[in-house]
Amino acid sequence: MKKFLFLLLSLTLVLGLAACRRDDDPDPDPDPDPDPDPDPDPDPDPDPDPVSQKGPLYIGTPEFSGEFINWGTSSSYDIAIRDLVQGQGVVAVTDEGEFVINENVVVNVSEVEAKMAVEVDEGVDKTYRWEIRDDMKWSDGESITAEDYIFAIKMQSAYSVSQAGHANPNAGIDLVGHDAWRQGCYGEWDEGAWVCDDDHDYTADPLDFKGLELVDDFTFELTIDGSELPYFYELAMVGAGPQPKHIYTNDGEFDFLTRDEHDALGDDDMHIGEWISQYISKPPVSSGPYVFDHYERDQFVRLKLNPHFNGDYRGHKAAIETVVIRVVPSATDIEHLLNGEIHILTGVVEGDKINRALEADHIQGIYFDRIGFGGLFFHTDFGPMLDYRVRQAIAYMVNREEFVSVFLEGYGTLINAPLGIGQWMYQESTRVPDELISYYPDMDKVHQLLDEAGWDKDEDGNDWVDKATSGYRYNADGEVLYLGWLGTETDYSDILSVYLTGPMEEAGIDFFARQAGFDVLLDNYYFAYEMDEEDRDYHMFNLGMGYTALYDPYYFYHSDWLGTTGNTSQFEDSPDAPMADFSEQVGQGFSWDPTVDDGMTVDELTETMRLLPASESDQFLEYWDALMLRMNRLLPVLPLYSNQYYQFCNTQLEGFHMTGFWDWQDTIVDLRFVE
Amino acid sequence: MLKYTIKRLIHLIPVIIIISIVIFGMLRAMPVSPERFMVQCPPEMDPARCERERQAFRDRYRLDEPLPVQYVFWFGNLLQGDLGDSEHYNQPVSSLVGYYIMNSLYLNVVVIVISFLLAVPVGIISAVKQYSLFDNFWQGFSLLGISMPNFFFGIILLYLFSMRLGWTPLSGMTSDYLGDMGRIEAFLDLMRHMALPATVLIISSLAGTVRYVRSSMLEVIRQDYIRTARSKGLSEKVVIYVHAFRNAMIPVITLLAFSIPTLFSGAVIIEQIFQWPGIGRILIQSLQRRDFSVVLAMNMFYAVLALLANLIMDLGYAIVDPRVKLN
Repeated sequence: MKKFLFLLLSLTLVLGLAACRRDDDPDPDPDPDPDPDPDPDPDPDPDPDPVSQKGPLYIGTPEFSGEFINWGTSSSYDIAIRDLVQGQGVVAVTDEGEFVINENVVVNVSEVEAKMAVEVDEGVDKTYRWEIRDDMKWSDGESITAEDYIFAIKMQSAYSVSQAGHANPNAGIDLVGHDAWRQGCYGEWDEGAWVCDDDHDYTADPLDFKGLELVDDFTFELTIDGSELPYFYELAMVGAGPQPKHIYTNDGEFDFLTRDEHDALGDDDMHIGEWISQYISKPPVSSGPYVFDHYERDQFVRLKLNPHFNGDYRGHKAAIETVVIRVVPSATDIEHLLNGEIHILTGVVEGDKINRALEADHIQGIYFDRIGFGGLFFHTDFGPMLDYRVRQAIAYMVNREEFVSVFLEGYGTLINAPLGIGQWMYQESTRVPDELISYYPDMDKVHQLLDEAGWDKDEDGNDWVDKATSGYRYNADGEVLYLGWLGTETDYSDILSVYLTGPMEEAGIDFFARQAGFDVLLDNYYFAYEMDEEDRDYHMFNLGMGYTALYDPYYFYHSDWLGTTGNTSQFEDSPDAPMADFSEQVGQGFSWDPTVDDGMTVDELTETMRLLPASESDQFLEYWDALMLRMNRLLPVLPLYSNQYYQFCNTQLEGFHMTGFWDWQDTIVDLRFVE
Repeated sequence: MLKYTIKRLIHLIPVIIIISIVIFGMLRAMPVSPERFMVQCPPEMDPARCERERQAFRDRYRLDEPLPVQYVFWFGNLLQGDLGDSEHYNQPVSSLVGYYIMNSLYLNVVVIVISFLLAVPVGIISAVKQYSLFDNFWQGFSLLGISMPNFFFGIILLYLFSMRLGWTPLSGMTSDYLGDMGRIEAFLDLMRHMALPATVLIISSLAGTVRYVRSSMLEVIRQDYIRTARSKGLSEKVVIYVHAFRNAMIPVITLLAFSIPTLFSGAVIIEQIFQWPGIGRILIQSLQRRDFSVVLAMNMFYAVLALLANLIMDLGYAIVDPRVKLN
């Protein structure tokens, strides 16, 4: 028995030691004869770079869900992979968040620019003609043609594809004929439901996406539905990138189906949606800088250089041959970076991680200002929160400066309106943040505002004096001033509760705080409008808001979206909203002139902004200023901070550059190993 | 035996139906509607379209139907092998879970084999040499192993061997695609990644099993028939390994049978800590994401597995202990 135990333990030890040998040579080439370049560079570099660009380059990511085709429902981490294998779009986004024509793809740039300058009347359709280069290729060597661009939009919005569980709800959404194509039949909306026209003769007039037109092999037209125009981001409406029609139709074997055709299929009948589904985690060809090579679920994705990629919109091409995107847990992601297991780690916001990485000699760090913010989001459609003065009182209770300092350890900025400090409007504005009220802790103001809002009685109807004397505040109707807060189970909520609970008590507010899972929070936040008022417990929620290059506040603050998940605060401004009431505060630390916004409501401002032509960025900025001023005073949301997002990269690399609009997958074409 | 087995299998059917109703009911009773969580709409998306996407989701899973109808629809599909689709992975659950089960299996087979190979002899020796240094050491080890939560032990090992010494990878199962490596290279790579999670699980499992085997053995060697065997002049080896061992194994079989579900079910916390892409980790993530199809399928899988393990355990008793008759 002893011998057996000894042998077993020895074996375990030997195996363990052998397996745990530290790999000092992380890149032994197991393949002495790598694949020859199928498309050798005709103009070899006369001064070859002495540093190997073979790689692999390791990049850390929190997770994948494995959807690497261009559906609209994937996680943002999958989008990075998609961006690497999908390129050659006719519209690109610059590192400053500007939509531009991709001059490395589009031939008739001036024609498109001229078209952009044409202002059409509201309701009039507008057609863009895209002429693309004729020498672009998929990674398998096939030509990229205009058909692939048309096919891409159709594929992502097709009824038969959506029935396979996939679809990109935004693909071609503003183009003529989108809804019929998406629904798989001609018809019309009736109270939110699409009603097919059963009398339509599909033999004479087959179902098609009317706003897409193939002109020739390298030219296509996209027509914007006039009801969507004018629009500040008009160019984004006609952005399109290619998808490999020859593969996703199996060289013509599969075609898109109408609703009836699809519904008539048997369970075992393969259709185009199901055919494409098999490629969802393994994109077969690439039009981007890299070609998909291997996906090990929940572990890593490996990509190889695409020899046929002709560069991003600036003409920049990637050089590193192999890229591996590894899943690393957030608890130890910084360790992976520090010990060299990964070269790049992005989106770091925790102060201790940032400090450790910045102290390391072999790590270079850059940061950009977030295109968004974190804050207390209010439901403004019920109870005490209907009154902006109650919302303001809350703003005067919270020591936001201290909260930001504790929570972000200095890596963020206190803000006073729903903005991201990385937004171009913020950076170019001459009025924001100077003219915003900076809410600071002031219990006298809190009491004053709550009194003015009518919460000035005690339980017996006498004037409220203070918490110790009078208890909770009541209004003239005998209703208690109750506020509920729902936070997430995070440090954010833990810290915020410290700054909320005490002042709420002192102010005489019956305050209920609860922390729950993110799903519970979202459910209560997004869908409270469906509940009866007496069942609603929460007035405020701690959340974040992230903007994109397509910043359109109409969708989240306009009263058109009351009773939907768009206007989540259920916020309604009106000409009677008491902007002028703030005049008394002029001279008390800020210089706001109540006449500057001409009394435009949030509805009017957001509508006006989106209807501006793209060229009117100065005017857009003026309205944005006015919007921020108004939001700062009406407070459907109490902004707390806008972070600095840190990105870290090993010093073995150069060319690392990121912004709020420019992610690591965008900068990868500029990355080179230097040691 | 065959008749008994068939009878037991038939008895499992109502149990499985009851379990499925309970699991389905509990998940549906959660205070979140799945479509609200699964269909996320970006800020720039037209809210009206967002509502329509959510309704399409509800229609797909018949969420507007009464709960019993939803259950019948789900259970009917389940019987046909359709476990539904994972909303997060956008794939059928049936094609998803196989990969994760295999990964858990790799880890747990190693853990169970090594821990039992070690625990049985250690437990026997501890019992035979009760209160010796060897016994005291393993008693202390067991106490420590049982008392210390394995996630805590895992974090200590991670800190020591990965962060400080750099001997083992911080997380994951492989460095690269194993199919591209040679067999030995792939094996070593897998072992390197498995070293820490397996060690934590082995220690945790070993601690309990050693105590179990020891106490079982102690009980047996105090029996009259062991005294009789000794008085017949049989050697101590024969007494222990022929007469005592087999009888002491009966309760160990119970333990072994109960570990069968864990072969497939994964070690939820350890897989999470070491980012091992196993079934335990995917279950936790699916719960967090409210990926109901995956959670339902996995819970049903565990329930059936536990019931089958129970059956196997009963059959095992009959094989090991001739006194047990199955009727």
